[in-house]
Amino acid sequence: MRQDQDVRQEPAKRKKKKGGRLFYRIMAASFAGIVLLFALAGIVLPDRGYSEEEKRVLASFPEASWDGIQKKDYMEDLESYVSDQFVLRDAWIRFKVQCDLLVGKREFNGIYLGKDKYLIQIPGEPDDENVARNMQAINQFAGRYPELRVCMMIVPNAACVMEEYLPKGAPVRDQEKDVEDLKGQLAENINYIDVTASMRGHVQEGLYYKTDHHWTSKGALRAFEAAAEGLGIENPITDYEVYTVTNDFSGTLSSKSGYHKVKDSIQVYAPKGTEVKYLVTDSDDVKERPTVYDKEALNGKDQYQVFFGGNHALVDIRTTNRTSRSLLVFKDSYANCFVPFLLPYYDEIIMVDPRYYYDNVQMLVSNKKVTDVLFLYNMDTFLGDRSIADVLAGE
Amino acid sequence: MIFSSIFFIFVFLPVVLAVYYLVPFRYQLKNLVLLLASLVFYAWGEPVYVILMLLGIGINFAGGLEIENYLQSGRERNAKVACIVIVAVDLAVLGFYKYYGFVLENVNAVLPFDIPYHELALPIGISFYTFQTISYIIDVYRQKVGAQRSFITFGAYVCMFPQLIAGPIVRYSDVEKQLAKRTLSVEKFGDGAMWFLRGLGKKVLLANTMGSVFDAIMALGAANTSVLTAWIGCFAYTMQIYFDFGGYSDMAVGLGKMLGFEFMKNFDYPYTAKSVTEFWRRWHISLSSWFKEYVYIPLGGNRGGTKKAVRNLLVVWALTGLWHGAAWNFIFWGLYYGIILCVEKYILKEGLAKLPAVCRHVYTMVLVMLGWVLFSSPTLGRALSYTGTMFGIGGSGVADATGLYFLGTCLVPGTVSAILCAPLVYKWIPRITRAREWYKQVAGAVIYIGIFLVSTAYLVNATYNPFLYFRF
Repeated sequence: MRQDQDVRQEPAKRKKKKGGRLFYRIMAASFAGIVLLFALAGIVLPDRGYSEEEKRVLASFPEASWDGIQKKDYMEDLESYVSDQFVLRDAWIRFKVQCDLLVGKREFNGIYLGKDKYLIQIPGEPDDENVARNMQAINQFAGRYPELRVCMMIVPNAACVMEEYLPKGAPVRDQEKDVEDLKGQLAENINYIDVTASMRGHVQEGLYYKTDHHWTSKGALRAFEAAAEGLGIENPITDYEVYTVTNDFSGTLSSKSGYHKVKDSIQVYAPKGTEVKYLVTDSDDVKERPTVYDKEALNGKDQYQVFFGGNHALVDIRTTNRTSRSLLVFKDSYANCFVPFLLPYYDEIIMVDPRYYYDNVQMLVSNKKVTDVLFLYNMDTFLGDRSIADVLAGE
Repeated sequence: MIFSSIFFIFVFLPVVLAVYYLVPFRYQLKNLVLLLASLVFYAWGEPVYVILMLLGIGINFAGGLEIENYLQSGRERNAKVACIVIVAVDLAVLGFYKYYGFVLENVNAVLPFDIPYHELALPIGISFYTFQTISYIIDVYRQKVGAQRSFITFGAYVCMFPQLIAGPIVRYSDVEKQLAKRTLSVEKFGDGAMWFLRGLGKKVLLANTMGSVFDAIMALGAANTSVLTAWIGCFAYTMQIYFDFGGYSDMAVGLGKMLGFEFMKNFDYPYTAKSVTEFWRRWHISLSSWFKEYVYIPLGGNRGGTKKAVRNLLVVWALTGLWHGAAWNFIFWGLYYGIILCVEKYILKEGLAKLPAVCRHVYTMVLVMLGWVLFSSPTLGRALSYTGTMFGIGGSGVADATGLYFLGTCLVPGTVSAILCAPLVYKWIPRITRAREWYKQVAGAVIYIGIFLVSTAYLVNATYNPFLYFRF
């Protein structure tokens, strides 16, 4: 029986044959049944506000407005609502990922599933114009303060450092070339600290989370060891007490890919043989506290926020050191687990996250008697950043 | 709104079908429901352009009545003028929205000064429904069909949601009787569900998967693409566009059946063709037959000597290309086929048929795949460089690790896609579904429900769900 005859043959003719009627009846009943079942279940069951697995707020029922309808916002919101609140949404997504794995797919929503169940984010395409603008602003900033020691450390992502963990042959951006490009654009008085090679040497120690796009404390430690000299730190501490603060960390990559078969642990490192004490405040909480860790975060949605309670426009750490060195860090979230390693070596460390910071940087430099500046980002965020130049240029 | 979305399947469709099945046929109530549902469906994606579509329906509805009126009172000339004017208006609206930006861009390239213009958003489906209204007007003028006297029925025909945004281009003469009278039954509904799920699976499981492979390969850039990778990319697109468009047509056929309609088939295993001429008899049939009927034959077809026939073919194919989009690559794609068809018709003639079937099939598929490169490329330069890469010019060698990676990810979906291009499986399915044994029929239904559930899982997590034919 050819397909085309299939199209035109009236079911009336089919009825004369014995076979087939049951099939069509089952099809009719099961199709209508399944559609109605899920449609009604969607109406009857209560809406969920937040998805633990996807780590995001789910769409709620949109309010109709003439303007929203004209601009299609209302329709799009309604479609997101129905999709987000679809019955057993999490189970469907897990089922989908299972099907993908079964047919040999190794890329989920921009994330590779690599060796040892490592989820590795595919770095995005850079915004070349903004990168050039940022680099120019950084060069000008360093030119304005010749007396400061300015360093830049752009950490390559797992896709580069853990290249050998990627699915074989899986295409990713060449971040080593990106490093070279950045070095080429950098003014001479800025010291570029390249930690790629040192990190590669320790890759089997777990320098990145399996389920999250951040590096681990171990990764930050290895980078610190490689960077200490460049930062002008003599005799860095090598002995640490390691505490595991959680064993069931499921990060952003798990949520985004829908792959939930592995959990991470988060560790914090306490230096041994130092008496340094410090007080921390940030722009979201001016209350002084003697720790860089936020225990509350371990019960929250994103356990990586245990470091400083996440990103803030400004974080100020005053220590009991007397080194006459004061460090200003322009940073993204990668710095949150790196900066704790720097505490024994500075009197004060100020962290500025340009994505949220709108105040004057010049004032900060003079008021805080800054001696050192560090630009610390992961490569993917840095190449996509749109805020550094504005913050540095701001009067 | 697209068919392959949670919202369509689990909200729009059940509501529309429930109302549609509950109202009686009397007083054209079913057609009214169909019209209103279609307007909502259209307004969902084009809340402003729905007015444009209603105007189009109004003009063509009145035009059809007027032409018939003239013909019945013997005023042939008036009828002809009316027909020309209305077709011109239809084409003008299509041209304005689809080609205005393209024309001015090219005019500006030639002129020493620039004419400022805004790129207009293309109303979804305008290429499809405009061709339907034109065929109606011409058929009324040719007295092939009588003018439709009910605005509701005519409106339901023009904007019927199953085929509104991506065809098939249903001709009025094909559905005239069905618009007046059609039957609904449980079996027909089940048949429709089967077609819908078949299309849904093709679209969601095959087209989207192959499409993501194609996109990943396109993002590599020529320098990182080996010959192997380039061919995998081309194969992936070849599969994507067929299952995307073919899947959509299947879904349209299925929805049509659920509503009591029988649409013409739009695809007939195009990738089994053994010549390019045959390919175009099997690909997007409703479009090629439309061009044949309303352009090629009126131009004189193949009567009047080879020269004229070649001219007519090239005109038709340039227009076919242009129909697909306002860009040069589509025009060249159309002409590419026009030239190949002329060569097959006037130079190769029966020579091709003497070759072994395998050679003819390979010959056809290579030309079709190269055609898709032209079709899918944003610029002509990109098309040429990609074609170059496929033949080892300017890429990164014959095969590399990246190529092997894509070969690995493509293996299962690619093989399944290739198998489903041929009639084999489709011939086998009715043997189960129409078997006398009840358990075979149940097994057949279980397969389709399985496709439904897996597709739903992919739709719930739909990060990648584009429809290629939306642009046209």
